[in-house]
Amino acid sequence: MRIADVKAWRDHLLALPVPSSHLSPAGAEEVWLGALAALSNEALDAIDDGPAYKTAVLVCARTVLTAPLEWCAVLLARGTRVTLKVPSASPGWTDAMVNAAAHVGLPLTATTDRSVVANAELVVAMGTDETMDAVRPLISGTFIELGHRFSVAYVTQDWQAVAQDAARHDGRGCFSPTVVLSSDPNAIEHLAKAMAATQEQWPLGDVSPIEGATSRARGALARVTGRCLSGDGWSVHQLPVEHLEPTALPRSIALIAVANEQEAVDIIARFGRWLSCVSTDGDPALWQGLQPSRIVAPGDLQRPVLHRIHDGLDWVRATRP
Amino acid sequence: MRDAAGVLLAQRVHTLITAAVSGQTYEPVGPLAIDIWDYQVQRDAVAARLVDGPVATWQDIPAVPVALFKQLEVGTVARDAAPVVFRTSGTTHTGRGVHAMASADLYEFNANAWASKYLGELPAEHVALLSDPTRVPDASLSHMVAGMRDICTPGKTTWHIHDGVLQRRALNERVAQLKHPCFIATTAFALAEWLDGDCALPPKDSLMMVTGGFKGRVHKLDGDQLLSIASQRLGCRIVTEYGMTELSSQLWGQPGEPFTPPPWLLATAADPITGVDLAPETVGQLRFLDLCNLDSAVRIETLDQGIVHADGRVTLHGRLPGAPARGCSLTIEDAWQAR
Repeated sequence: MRIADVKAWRDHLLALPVPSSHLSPAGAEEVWLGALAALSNEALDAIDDGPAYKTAVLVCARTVLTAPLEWCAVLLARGTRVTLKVPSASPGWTDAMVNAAAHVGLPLTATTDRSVVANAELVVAMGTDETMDAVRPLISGTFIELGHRFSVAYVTQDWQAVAQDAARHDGRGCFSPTVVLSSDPNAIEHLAKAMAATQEQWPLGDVSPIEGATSRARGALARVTGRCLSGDGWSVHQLPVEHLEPTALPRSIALIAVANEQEAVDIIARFGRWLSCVSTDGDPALWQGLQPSRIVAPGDLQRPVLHRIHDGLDWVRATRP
Repeated sequence: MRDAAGVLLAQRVHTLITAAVSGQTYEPVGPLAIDIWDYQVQRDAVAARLVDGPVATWQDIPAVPVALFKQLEVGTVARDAAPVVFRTSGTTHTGRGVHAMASADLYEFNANAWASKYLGELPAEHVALLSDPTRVPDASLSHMVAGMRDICTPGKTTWHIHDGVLQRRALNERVAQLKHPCFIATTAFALAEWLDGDCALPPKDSLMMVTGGFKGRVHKLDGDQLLSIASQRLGCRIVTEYGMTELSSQLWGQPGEPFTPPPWLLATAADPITGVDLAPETVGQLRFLDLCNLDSAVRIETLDQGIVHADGRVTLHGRLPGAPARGCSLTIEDAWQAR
């Protein structure tokens, strides 16, 4: 086990300036430091020993830049040689991770060559379902697929916390509260106020043309069928449930009005196959039937602990043969 | 189906088109577009909810995103009661957009008027690498091509896509039998598939219309490469067409050149993030004001990107990066993949 080297790697990363990215500097700092904080000494010391894969490839998405950190930490701790397959147009923060690993002698490399997955004993792929379809035929080893998922929040009080969850990673990634359900008749005003405050705290970063266009189109849908409140760098789209599509858009929340939390559960049940996590300031027990990976308080969706169930998988164990 | 106000507006559009294509002075487009918008706001719940302050110029008219044609009943005519309904071919992951019309009169009149003006006299014999509109009546492109019979001397149009599959043998037999130049209408993907195998040579001086995006899910050839190969191999004069189900009017062009819209179709490019219209010659998200969209939305916002030049012509750059591929080319591409 190379737990000590991984701790040194983490400490080296913590000492670096936050790498630049499509996130704003403040937004990047929040998620970068948050992800490194999850690699606490206690969490790293709890990584179980045992047989390890010799080689692993992580196919990284361009949405959540910190996602490879914890996978690298666990695999490198077990002595696995890890290669990050990164999007060619968006290498993200992998340079920092790879350089820091080299500094402490950990076997971490990065490439844009998709064929690297062919001979790895373990491949972990994050991204869209299309990415999974493209990668799957190339793989001969064990394959962990982390495809499209979405998370939801049920909120009646903790508006600021859910807005912060929606702001981390600019609302991208499967832990982002794509849909907020609330029984508060003034939910849209509360959320709008919280989103505006969060924008002050962590300004929105770069938005792609299709993200911008899709967000504005959903805003138009909300104006016709519900309500739309928006400001600089954020929007809240209150929609009738028949127009609910759990699509992650940057700093844009789809809001569904419900009579109570049970109705919220019933609505989300129809999307159960793609549900990742739930945050609620109500009754967590109501959501257990949907078997989300995590049920947490608002504010903790985008700050997962290392040892957890991820997309139904005890992922730390799954990274062992 | 249209009330008196609608009939009057249709007459004004009809008159404008007639004057525009014959080189006469015509009513300014902007004020007529605002009148159409006001008409739509009074009759269409979607337009009414999108009102965002006073409309002083046509650029103030909200552009209805094409996504709304999938999600809502856009326009002044209920889908169930509409005599004419065109549907988008859809994408793998989404439903189909619906463009409902009270009448196809403006659609057919403007399509033929601009095609005649731009293309000149068409050959009599037409060969369509498209679905037969009697089998697929909601396919707007097939409807447009079928209507082009009205602007040429008597002849026959044959259809060579069936259930999304190119009928190569029948197509080649038909082309081989032709003695005089013909008009070939095709999507880019159908053309690519035709060129992938045996293809009969059309008579010299034939004219080929190519439309639709090409960079879909299977073939990755650049569109210009395809047109170049087609021109060399088939010896046809090629023209390009750009249209979509949510529009009633079409733009025409030459390979490698910008598309030319008719005078009643005004293009703008917007910043996709902010939605603010950009200055000419700037790459942006394309929006179109189409006077012939009387029954639906007079101004729409596409998911295509391109440049609107100072002279109003449009250079298409394709879909916004990351947007799902769509269009009539994909219907045959789906069938091609399923083989």
